[in-house]
Amino acid sequence: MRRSAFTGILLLSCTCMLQAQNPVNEPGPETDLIEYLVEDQEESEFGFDTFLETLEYLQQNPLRINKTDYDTWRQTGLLTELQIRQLLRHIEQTGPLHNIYELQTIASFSTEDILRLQPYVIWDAYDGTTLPYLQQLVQGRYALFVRSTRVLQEQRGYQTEDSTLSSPYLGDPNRLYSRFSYNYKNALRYGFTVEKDPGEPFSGVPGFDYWSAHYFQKGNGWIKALAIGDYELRIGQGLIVWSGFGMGKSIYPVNIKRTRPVLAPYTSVDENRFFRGAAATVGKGPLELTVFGSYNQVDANLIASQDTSLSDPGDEGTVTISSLQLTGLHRTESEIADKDAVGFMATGGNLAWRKGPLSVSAAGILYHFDAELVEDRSPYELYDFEGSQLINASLSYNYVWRNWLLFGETAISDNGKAGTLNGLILPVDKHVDLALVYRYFDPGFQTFFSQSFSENTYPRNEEGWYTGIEITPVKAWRFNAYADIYKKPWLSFTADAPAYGADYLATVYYKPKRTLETYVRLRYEASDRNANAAIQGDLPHDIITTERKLRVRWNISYQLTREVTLRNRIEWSQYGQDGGTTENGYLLYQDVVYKPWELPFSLACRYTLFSTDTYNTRIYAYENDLLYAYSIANIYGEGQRVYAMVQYSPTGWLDTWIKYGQTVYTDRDTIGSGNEAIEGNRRSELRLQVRFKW
Amino acid sequence: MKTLYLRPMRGIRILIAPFFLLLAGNSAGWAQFGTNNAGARTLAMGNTSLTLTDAYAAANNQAAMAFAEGPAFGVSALQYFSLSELTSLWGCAVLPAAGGAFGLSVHHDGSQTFRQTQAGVGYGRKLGENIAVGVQLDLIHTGVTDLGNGNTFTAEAALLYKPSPELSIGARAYNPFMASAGEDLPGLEISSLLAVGLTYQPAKQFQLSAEGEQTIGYDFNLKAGAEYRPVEILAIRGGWMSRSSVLTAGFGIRWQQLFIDLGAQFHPQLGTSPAIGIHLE
Repeated sequence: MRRSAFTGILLLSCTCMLQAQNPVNEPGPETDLIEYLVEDQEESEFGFDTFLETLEYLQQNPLRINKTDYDTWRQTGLLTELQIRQLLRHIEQTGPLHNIYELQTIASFSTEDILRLQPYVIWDAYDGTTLPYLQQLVQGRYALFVRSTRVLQEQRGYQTEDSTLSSPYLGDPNRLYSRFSYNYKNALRYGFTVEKDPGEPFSGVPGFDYWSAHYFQKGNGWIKALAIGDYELRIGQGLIVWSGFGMGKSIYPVNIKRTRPVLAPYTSVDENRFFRGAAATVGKGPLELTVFGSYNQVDANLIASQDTSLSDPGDEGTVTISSLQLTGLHRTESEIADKDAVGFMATGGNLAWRKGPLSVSAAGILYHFDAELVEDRSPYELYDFEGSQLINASLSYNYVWRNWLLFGETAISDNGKAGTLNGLILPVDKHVDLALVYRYFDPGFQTFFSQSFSENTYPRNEEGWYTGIEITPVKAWRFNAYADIYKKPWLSFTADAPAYGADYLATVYYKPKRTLETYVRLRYEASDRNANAAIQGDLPHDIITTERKLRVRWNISYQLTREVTLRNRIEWSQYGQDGGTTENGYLLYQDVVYKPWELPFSLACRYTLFSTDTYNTRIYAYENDLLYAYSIANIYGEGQRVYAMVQYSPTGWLDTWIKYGQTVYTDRDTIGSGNEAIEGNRRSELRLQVRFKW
Repeated sequence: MKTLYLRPMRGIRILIAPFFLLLAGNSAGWAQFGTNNAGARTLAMGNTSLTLTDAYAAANNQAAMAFAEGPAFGVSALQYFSLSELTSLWGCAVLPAAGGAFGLSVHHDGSQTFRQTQAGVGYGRKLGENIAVGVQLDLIHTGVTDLGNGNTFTAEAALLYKPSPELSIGARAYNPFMASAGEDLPGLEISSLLAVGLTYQPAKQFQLSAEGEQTIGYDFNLKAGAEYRPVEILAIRGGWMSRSSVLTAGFGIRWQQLFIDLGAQFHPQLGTSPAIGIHLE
């Protein structure tokens, strides 16, 4: 059995390799994955950028394959859990590998996997020298990104002279972003990230609305990792805490297990999902302990009850949080009033034990708000968190038996409600890989930073069975699919009754040669929800109906000459509720990417035509964008969109990007609503980025 | 997918059993005569059975009997939604004879209130090295308390083609003449269905099947199933059916020529349907 259970992550790395060679953010498997994730979660920002950056760094600083330890492999995300364990066991039993093809003797590595791994590993013997600490602090690689983007048409929120505007934006429409990073062999990293969102004021000190800084060091002694400043935590399968990018239900149906180290520096721009303070991992032998502490101010809407102001103004006991604000946007007076309104503390630890094929870890986290959260709740929110303190504990495991990988996590919140997720990955044959996941999350299971394999955003109110398969029957062809069948035992935002749902995805890939790749993907979802107004009619009680979504996509990419690549997509989307009408939407586009062989310059253009009946049939499409800035167009309505992007790298230490995109609608005179509304049928955006590296 | 929040209480089971049969037939393709689900192995593999060459081929695909290497016998029982009134019993035999194989099958469904029994005699024969056809004649007896009894004859035909060692393609038509349950039971139809399926077996220990089934008057049902034998004595199975998003699972144990199979289907609203089967090959 020479194929890995999950080719997904290696495919990712394969594309990152392309990206490193020509950083135009070319569409490919990883952008495909982003499209899927955005489609599913409607998130605009997540930690994918740093994941890709790690891989680009690895290509410049390859790993010594015989000397890389378990945690470093996990950090890279290049290999699967099974591959890491089998590789380390192989080296332990038979000595160092002599060349990369020796990996073929390890069951979980296919020839394809080996070729994909090649750019990231080297064979030279480790010279054993380590620079003194002070030199490590300065002799690594530096990078500075500066990015500015803005919508060119004036949006309603910026028309401050308009007296009818109830809450105008206080800042200008530019999004400004800058990130500085230092990296010494992935062992020592430090840097900072600043950002101002469109509409946020930029003045005085501190200028940028969002600041983040980190210092991260890996060690070879009993201190394994140390993080100061902003950091990320990832425990087990994400039932109680997971920040940044994590695999789950996706276009890689078999790649469902999460394999990352507990601690990592935080460099992203989500203004809520990170920890601020210090954390360390210490370990000896099979034991490893991570402890962490974090305190920062988070956005919240506070309410002081009237008797407080009348009596003792110093008494804060009756100030309560009516809601937590998670958008990270501070553009209007009310948004600014909620900024950093309440202190939030998190502390805890994770104890891991690893021996042979078995790993077990136990974790506990305590969260504390400086005020009580008392929300005005609807029935579906009956089990939501209330109060000022929450404790989570979890137990997770991994076990490799033959080539089977069993994994899972079971967690509990301090109200006694629990969640569990257990999975199995099974490379049954060299042509076929299977995966199976069962999860049950109680409606009352409460968490803050969880992000796991689930249909809901958080692992709550859900029970389901998932199965995924990947088949490579003959050369050039690949097929994968998943089926996920779940139920929500309690009410949810969209359904006033317990609900059932099913989600299916199937893709057929065909890649007859290096320069041509095409796939057809079908996704079908059916789930119970409250019926729309047309179906509901005059009935006094909400009725539940089944909502059905179908999306079919055909995508083809072909390299015309050494310098020109063309790409096309046709996507059709259908939406309907049982008893109602059916809505349709389509999108098609033509991409042209031109990369002159001799010049340090490249050009990517796209022309898109689209028509969707409603927002329900919207279609998401990934666009080439500034390096590490992912742009997913959320397209609905009727019209066309064009964009062009140029990348120019005049010297080794400087890269520049400029992108202009415009959407013209033929079915409306106003785009968007509220403060975001634009008068007219055109929306244009300009994006600029510069990277200095030395 | 229909949404129901309904669980029968014990006292009214008998009254609603026929209703459930109809409902199940409508939503999950169950309790229909002709449905390819004889044997707990098939049931655990999402009712995919058109290419299986075991004893239950006598009911699931008569052409597959032509590939049998020796005589085979099997019995199986299934209880829809764990309701004793909805028990389904099968008995099958495959008997190779000169030029092909004969098959005998008996199928009993339901309880005292509503019951159906089918007895069939079939014959499967190879037309070439890798292709076979089969036919069967069935007698169906239906009895409904207070309404009466009916008898009817119907027929079925099947095909199995193995273009390569990894691939098998099967097809089956049941009751193509649309016979009904009998003159005494007006309006009670016997299902007519056509099913086509494919099995991919990349290695001896693993196979994957997909089938499409159309029963007249019902939604199209897409089915998928897999069987994995990590060791000689154990088989692990799983499957899925599109109609009502039914998941299935089960396992089988082999001791020499004896096979014992356990399986279950999980309907999201109506619950679990367990099955057991024993066959000799």
